[in-house]
Amino acid sequence: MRKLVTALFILSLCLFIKPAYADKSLYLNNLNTGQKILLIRGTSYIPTETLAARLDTYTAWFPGSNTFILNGSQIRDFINSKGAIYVSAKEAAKACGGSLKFNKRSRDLYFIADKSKVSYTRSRLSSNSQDIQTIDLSSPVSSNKSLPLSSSSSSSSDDLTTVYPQSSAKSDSTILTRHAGGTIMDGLRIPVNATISGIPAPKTQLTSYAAPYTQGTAYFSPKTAQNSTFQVTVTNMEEISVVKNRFNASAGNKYVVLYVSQQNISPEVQIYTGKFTFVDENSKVYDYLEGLSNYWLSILKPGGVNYGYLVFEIPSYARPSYLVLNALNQPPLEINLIN
Amino acid sequence: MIKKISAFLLCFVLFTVIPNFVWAAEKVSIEMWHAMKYEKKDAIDELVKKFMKENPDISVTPKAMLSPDVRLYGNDYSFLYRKIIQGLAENNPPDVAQVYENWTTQFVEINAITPFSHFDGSEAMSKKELDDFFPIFRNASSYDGVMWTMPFNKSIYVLYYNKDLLDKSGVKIPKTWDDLKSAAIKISEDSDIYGIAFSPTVDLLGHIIYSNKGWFISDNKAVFNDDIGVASLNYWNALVNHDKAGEATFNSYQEFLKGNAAFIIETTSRIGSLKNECKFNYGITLLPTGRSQAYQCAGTNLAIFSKDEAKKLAAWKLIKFFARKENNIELSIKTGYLPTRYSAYNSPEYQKFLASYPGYKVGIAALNYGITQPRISAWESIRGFVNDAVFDAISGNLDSKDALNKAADYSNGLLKGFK
Repeated sequence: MRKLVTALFILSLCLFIKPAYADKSLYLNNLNTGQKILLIRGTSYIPTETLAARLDTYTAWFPGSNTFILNGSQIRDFINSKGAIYVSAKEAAKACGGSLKFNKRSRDLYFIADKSKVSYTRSRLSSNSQDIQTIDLSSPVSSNKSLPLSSSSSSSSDDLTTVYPQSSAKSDSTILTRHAGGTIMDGLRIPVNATISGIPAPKTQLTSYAAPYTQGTAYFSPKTAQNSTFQVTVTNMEEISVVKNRFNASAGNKYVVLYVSQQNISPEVQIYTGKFTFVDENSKVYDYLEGLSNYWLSILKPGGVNYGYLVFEIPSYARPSYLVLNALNQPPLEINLIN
Repeated sequence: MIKKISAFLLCFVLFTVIPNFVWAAEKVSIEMWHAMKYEKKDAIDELVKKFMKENPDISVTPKAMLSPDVRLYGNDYSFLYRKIIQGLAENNPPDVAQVYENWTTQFVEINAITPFSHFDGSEAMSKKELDDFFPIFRNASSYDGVMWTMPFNKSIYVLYYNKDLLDKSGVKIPKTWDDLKSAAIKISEDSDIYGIAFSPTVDLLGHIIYSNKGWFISDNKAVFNDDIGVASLNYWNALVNHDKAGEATFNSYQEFLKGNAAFIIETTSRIGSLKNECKFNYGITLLPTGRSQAYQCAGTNLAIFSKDEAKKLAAWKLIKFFARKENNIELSIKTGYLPTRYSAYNSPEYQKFLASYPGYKVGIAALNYGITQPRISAWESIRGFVNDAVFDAISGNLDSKDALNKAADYSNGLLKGFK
């Protein structure tokens, strides 16, 4: 009987301490990750996948020895919830040389990471970031970086009712003048160390087709194809799991980012320059996510070039095959991404 | 005999003259594409009905081109733009559509839209009517002195503040960027909330650049990475990462409503909803000044895409109708956008509205120093590059200078190749 009571007591405790997803958000370096923290017996746990991806560091889990490594440090307090590993926020902060802060009002958790103490980042290898500069608010504009952001001639909001628009507008640039010069190659070239979403693209290298924080590299050389109307060049390709620290790929998916340039090589103006789709090795077709991409459709005059990046969301197991441009009254233009 | 002649004439009238009248009275049908929803869409629909009642020979179909999926198609305006250029390429454009100034540049360059000067005689707008538009809007719609688009849904950026939080900390309404920073830090320390919440976007950078006499593009070259641009980005960067008084978020309006931030920078289009949703005392004031005053305008204009002359005239009548004083007042009151002309602003109806919504006075005052973003064709793409730069700097991925240099490299390549 005593054993039964004990068992029931332990069972009730287990039920009581079942992981609870708190409605508190995780902020990383003051940016909302869109992820919730996990609260168990007063301890906050944070998702390692998000943390590692945002900090561009790596994690390793050795189920045999039940050991978890974050940024080179062993984490003792971690749990597996629904297939995802959550680590104690305190331990994670210690491992990454960061700090924690709770918003008193919302109780959201703020994880402030010191990136210089994150050991295995590609960012660290390539970035030349400096400390934030203090802005001098008193000196006039000069060749240095100080800038007077104050004015003694500021207007008062008290006398607004008597003010009416009278002045003429200023504008940034005169329009209707043809854009001057520039060779085609100038327009086509995209810096190979382009970055997106907080995860720097490697210089002339591509992370292997795995999670972005794992080791291993592969090279990507620009690919070009053309038909009678357009020449399309893919200058870089990368895979990431988060766009702008905000948009996570759905479970089981990843993002593929293609840096693309498109030139009108025909003698006519091309008003609608077509739509890009991505084809994987199993011939499955994906539309690009316009809301996450930066490829603004533009009317292209003869010789005109447009470029930007396209973001596709595909299953984690999928491998790229082709980028396809579908324009009006033309056969699809295929750019082979592999060979 | 007379009966036979009468019957003949009757038949003649029935089968020839009357059908001609019927044919002559056949309606001209036009489409108006826009990206408005909710009460703004309702306001447009109402005005279109009123227009058709006044012009029984014209049938207008308003079509809201709204993005069905923001991730897949972008926001409503990028969806609208895609639809317009697809329509142009397929020779099936709208007759009237909302356009931004930099879109207009592209459409003017390929002769896709019709200028005001196309309409003359009794249909033309008089100089008096044209002079009635606020200069900032008239100029934004003009190319080489000719208006090509009709100012439509307009707003301007202002500063919203939580008066209760300012009072609690004894902070005065900021007049300069320096004031704003000090106020944000003080409130952040006193109340353990963010002093200011803002979206890390190109517009954020523009507030300080323009108010310090800087530019994004000059002589077809990106200059937003100059000293002014870098200092501007450093200002926001420091507020977030150094002073811990700023929150970079894409939900700044909601953060403000929840009392989690004392200041936000938003356009005047928020004034109406704020009055209904805000639970604390708040105020609206001009954005802080730098070396000068300059406030970015937002919103679109109406352009005529029709190729057929009858449709073109019908479209012209429609956009003139929208701009007419009484309709401009109605649209402004129902949608919360700013009036576009003096006569609408000065009208008793609008002044009465202002008594309930005095915040719009701030917006009108800001128009004195209104500024429009670059109208170059490549601007939408460049906006995206600068958005990435602002985000990369504030999230600590890149130094401000490096982030802006990268965006400038991209932009200059595009400016050279964009013909």
